[in-house]
Amino acid sequence: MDSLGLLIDGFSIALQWQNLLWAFVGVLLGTAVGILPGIGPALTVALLLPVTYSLNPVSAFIMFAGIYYGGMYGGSTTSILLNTPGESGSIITALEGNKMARSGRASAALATAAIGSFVAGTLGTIALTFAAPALADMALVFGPAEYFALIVLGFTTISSVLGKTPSRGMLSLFLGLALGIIGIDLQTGQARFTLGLLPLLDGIHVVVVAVGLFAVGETLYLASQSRGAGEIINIKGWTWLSREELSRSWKPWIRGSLLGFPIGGLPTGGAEIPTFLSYAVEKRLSKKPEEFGAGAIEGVAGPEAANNAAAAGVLVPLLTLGLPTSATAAIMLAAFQQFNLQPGPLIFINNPDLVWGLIASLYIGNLMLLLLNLPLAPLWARLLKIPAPFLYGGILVFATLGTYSLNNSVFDVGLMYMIGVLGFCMRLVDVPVAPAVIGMILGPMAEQQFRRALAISQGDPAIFLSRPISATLLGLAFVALVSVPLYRYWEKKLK
Amino acid sequence: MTSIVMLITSWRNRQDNIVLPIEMMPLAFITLGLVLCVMTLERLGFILAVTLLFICIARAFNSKNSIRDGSVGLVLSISVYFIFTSGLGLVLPKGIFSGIL
Repeated sequence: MDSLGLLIDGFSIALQWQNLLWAFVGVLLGTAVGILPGIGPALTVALLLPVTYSLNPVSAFIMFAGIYYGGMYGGSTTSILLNTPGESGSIITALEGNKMARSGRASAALATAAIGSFVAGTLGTIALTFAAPALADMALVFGPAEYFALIVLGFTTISSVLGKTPSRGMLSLFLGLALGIIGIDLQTGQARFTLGLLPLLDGIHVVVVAVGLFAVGETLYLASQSRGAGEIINIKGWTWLSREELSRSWKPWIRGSLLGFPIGGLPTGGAEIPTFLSYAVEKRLSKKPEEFGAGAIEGVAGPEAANNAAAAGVLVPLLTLGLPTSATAAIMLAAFQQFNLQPGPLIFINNPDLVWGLIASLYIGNLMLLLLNLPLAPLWARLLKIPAPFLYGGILVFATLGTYSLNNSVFDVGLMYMIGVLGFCMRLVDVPVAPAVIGMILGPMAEQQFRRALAISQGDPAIFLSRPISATLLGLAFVALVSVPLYRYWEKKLK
Repeated sequence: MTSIVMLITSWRNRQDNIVLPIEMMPLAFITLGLVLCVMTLERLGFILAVTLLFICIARAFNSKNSIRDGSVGLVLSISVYFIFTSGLGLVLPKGIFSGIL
């Protein structure tokens, strides 16, 4: 069957009333956590993992997808009104969006962000509909050696892209790898790095790490910073985009989507790079470049579109290869594992209901988000008025709840708090925490594939270089690893 | 091997470590809250342990009125407890309320 027929089947699943309800809950939650500073979609999905254990997997993933997309919409509201980006993909939005809000054009900025997100989200989902099955077909020929090479490529690109310097990303990644191998080794039965502690034999659950790093680490960091309360800009009146604003917005929406989706789909991951690129492109192409820095609408429209298109792009390697390239995607992969599903080419054949129901729900979720965000933005903005003591108190209450209910173990809670303190230290020295979560998920997978490949080749490591795809991927990984330091070196030399 | 790479990377990073302005009091309060919560989670039960945590975090974020925070935290933890135990079937420690709940 072709993609279109499968997509129609997917819609028949996503349009069942209980799935519509879950999608609605997802986008509602997603928008809320996107707006609230300090929590994002990764943390929310992590906290919901233990709670959704009894749910039907299709419904659970429809809700997670809603949270994922919703977080992108919500993040822009915070950037525009508060000048503190709710999540990393909306850093650029804050540049122009907040300036616009200060000059009384908050509603225009919010509207162009919401519509741009919708346009890009829909375009991205369409691209996903057609790109994912094609890539899945290609990935069918992948053996363990290719998977290992792919994960290595993911490691190097993710850690050199996220964070200030590649070495910081690497540090975080290796921390995740180290945490990931704790526990009983599945192939030999050896206990590794358990320090003789019984609860560690089963390994550390990724939720414990993610919640610790994101919730506790972030709370500690924010509490330790002496800060003035951010100024929230009130929205005065609610107007539709003017004709001029619309005509200035639509091209950046399209361009942003075109930039965002492919870059999001590459194993480099992250929504930050396409937003930076889109901003640069719009600045260059704008007829009024002097407005940039003072509230240019193109500077909101383009990056917001890029952000959402990249979010759709990230789902391509996640679904077709089982390769997460953002923290939220890593948690979603953990969710797949919880339901005993392995994303990859086979999931399109074995669980078409789940995959296509999920993709169809992305279209529906996007529409819901547009309807929720466009007229109701002033209402959402009120969430920003929750006093910080209650907000962070509440976050930790939910963090404790989610972690405890994983295994009903106080040990997990204590461990989560300790990892939180570690996350706080990482924040202090500017080490990004996302690679740690990704590394923790991918590390054991890489190890397994590595061993399988060696088993096939009877211990001959040349298998990684003799197979053309795996050799190419490893070569790319090497290039990614050395290119940034080399580039810096040349830059210095030229000066 | 990972530790060797970590050592190298952090060694290369050593000059970047600048002392940042950190406020110690809020950190102390949060740590107190975390330790209290872990120690009391099973003995006092989820509701009270989490309320204690809530008060400590609120204080760390410059809240002066601990009685108000306590009541907000208590309402939150009681509602969370009932939503998640009766609604979603989770098991949370009852602690001292084990006779009543």
